[in-house]
Amino acid sequence: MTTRSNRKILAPFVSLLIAFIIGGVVIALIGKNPVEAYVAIFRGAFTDWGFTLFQATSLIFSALAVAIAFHCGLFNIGANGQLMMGALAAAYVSLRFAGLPGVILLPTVVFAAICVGALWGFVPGALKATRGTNEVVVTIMMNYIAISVVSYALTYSMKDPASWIAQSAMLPESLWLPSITLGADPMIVVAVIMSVLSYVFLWRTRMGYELRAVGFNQMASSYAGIKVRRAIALTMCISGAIAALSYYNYLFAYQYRAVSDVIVGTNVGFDAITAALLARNNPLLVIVSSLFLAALYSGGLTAQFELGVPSSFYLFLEGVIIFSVVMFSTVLGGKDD
Amino acid sequence: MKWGSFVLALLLLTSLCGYVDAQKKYKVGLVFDVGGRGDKSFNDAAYRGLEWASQRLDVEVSYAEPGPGGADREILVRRMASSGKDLVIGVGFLFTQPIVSTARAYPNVKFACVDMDVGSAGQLPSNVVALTFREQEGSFVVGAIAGMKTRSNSVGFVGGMVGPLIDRFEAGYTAGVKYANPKCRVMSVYAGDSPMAFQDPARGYELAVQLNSQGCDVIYHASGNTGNGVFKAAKERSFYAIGVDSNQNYLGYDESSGRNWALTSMVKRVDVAVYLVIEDLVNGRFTGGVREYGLKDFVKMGNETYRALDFAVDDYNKSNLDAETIKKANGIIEKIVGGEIRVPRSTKDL
Repeated sequence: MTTRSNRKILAPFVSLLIAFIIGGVVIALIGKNPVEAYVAIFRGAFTDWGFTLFQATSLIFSALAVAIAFHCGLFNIGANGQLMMGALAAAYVSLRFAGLPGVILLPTVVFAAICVGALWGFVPGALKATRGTNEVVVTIMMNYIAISVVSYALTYSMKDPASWIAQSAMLPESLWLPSITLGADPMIVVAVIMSVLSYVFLWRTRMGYELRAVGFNQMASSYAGIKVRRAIALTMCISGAIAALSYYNYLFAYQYRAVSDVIVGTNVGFDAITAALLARNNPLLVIVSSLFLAALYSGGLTAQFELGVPSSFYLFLEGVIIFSVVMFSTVLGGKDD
Repeated sequence: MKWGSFVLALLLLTSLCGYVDAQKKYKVGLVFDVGGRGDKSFNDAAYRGLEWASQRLDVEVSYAEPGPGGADREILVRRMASSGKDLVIGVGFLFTQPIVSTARAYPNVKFACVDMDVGSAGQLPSNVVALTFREQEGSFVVGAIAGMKTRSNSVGFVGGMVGPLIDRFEAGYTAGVKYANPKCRVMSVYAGDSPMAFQDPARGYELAVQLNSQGCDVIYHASGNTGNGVFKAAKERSFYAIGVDSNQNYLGYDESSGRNWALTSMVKRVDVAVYLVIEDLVNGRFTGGVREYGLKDFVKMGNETYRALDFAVDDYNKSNLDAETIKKANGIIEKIVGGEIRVPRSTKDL
């Protein structure tokens, strides 16, 4: 039993090692020195801590959303769409009520983002609960709807008339987040708190217990008196609500306006699946895996112009990581709990 | 203490070496827009400009592209600036905000933004140059070609979004048509009044069919993707279309008949703009503000002369343009460069 759980802990590290070796071979094949490339990635990630933490913040929120849904046996591929809708709602409400004092505006904006994100999770959740519709398909479709809604809103009703880019006006300054240490913003702290809360929720509350029970075995849960349908719909709501905060730092600590192309083109909701997988859906480990992926991404940007390692290398490496994590968890750890 | 001073001296020496090295060679960093190299459009053109610069001028170039969505545009611009580049170039108007904010933080680094959205940028910092084009001049030339080519004495214009940007194209084109063929009438229509008007090929098709049924046998579009519909209509209904921004001549090729309905394209050469701004840097002539490239700006590489604005002639459209037309068009370019012809900036000046 001990050896098995040891192996389980080992699995992500072995998979990462394998991924890095395969990545190194590919770098060598495109004619660059793999060691130099990894050093450049490492250096890039740590010289620009601010961006690494910034990227990790977005990833943590989305990865928590994915992880919580996983515990209920749901595969939420819609974190990307929930993130977009959350960002749009936050931007809209902040501009609409820009005159309000910051202390009132801040909770209003956060509340709006959470509600819209929860709604975006509720639809696939409710469909799954009542009609048995596959949540993978519905969340993917909801992503496309979110893309259309966001680009429509930022091209028409919310567009800054002074600009010919599809983007909103500058967001109210009362909401701009200050920079804390290392150039990071306070949202990283919120993200860490959210991870702890998610952990407590999953393992220390009745609702969290029910949710995990449904993930283990729906029939047994139902027999034990758990309202399975309610648990499924609620899980997706919570998942969507958390994902909705992923781009809050992008809006209020970085660009200070909502740019259609950037929100619509985001990949954070998908990177989050990798982060959740690496963390084996443990909300606390999500912090570590998100930091790791963010560092890889952030460092990869520098490796591009320092060494000419193409930007798609990050996506490639991420793909290999997912592949080896899935493969080696099965081989080393037996069936996933 | 002895060791301390030794280390200090060593540090000073190395930093001095770095300084001397930087004096010798300018470092230029370029950030592509999402998609990067291989887009057969702006990014590839920008890369070509960078290549010319590294061949011809004594500069060290490097480049990078943002990840999906491009939330990291500003990060890349900032890292380039902080890694000791002398000039950082952003390709595309989405770099407007990132470049303006980075330029404020790095007043000693110079920045250039291709197609900058000057309207939303606010007050430009003095170390930023917006690389823009006098599209009206190129439009004048293709307008003159349209005026020479038309048999029905009526030509059309399909604009994307109503506004000052596309108005420049319309103004230049109309003036060009009238210059070459005073009897010819120009019918102008627009796809809409929002940025979506650049993304609507179905609308472009509809408008082109309408113009053609009213007698237009040459149609110029300045409407982004919407223009794909104009080319589709041109192939179906056998009239000529004129492309815009990059060389779109291949869009007019009709496989079933083997004919080509692209008359020419009004080309905005981002490579020339990128090269010239690097040349300005090397020659110490870099100045901030809005830089407008026009017909008079060119780069000579080998036997080829590349103008910042031009009309495209290639295998696809050479059967549509006779030597006489090309000669006349080049004559018009000379006259605009020489100041003999004044090209209007807006349809109000027509």
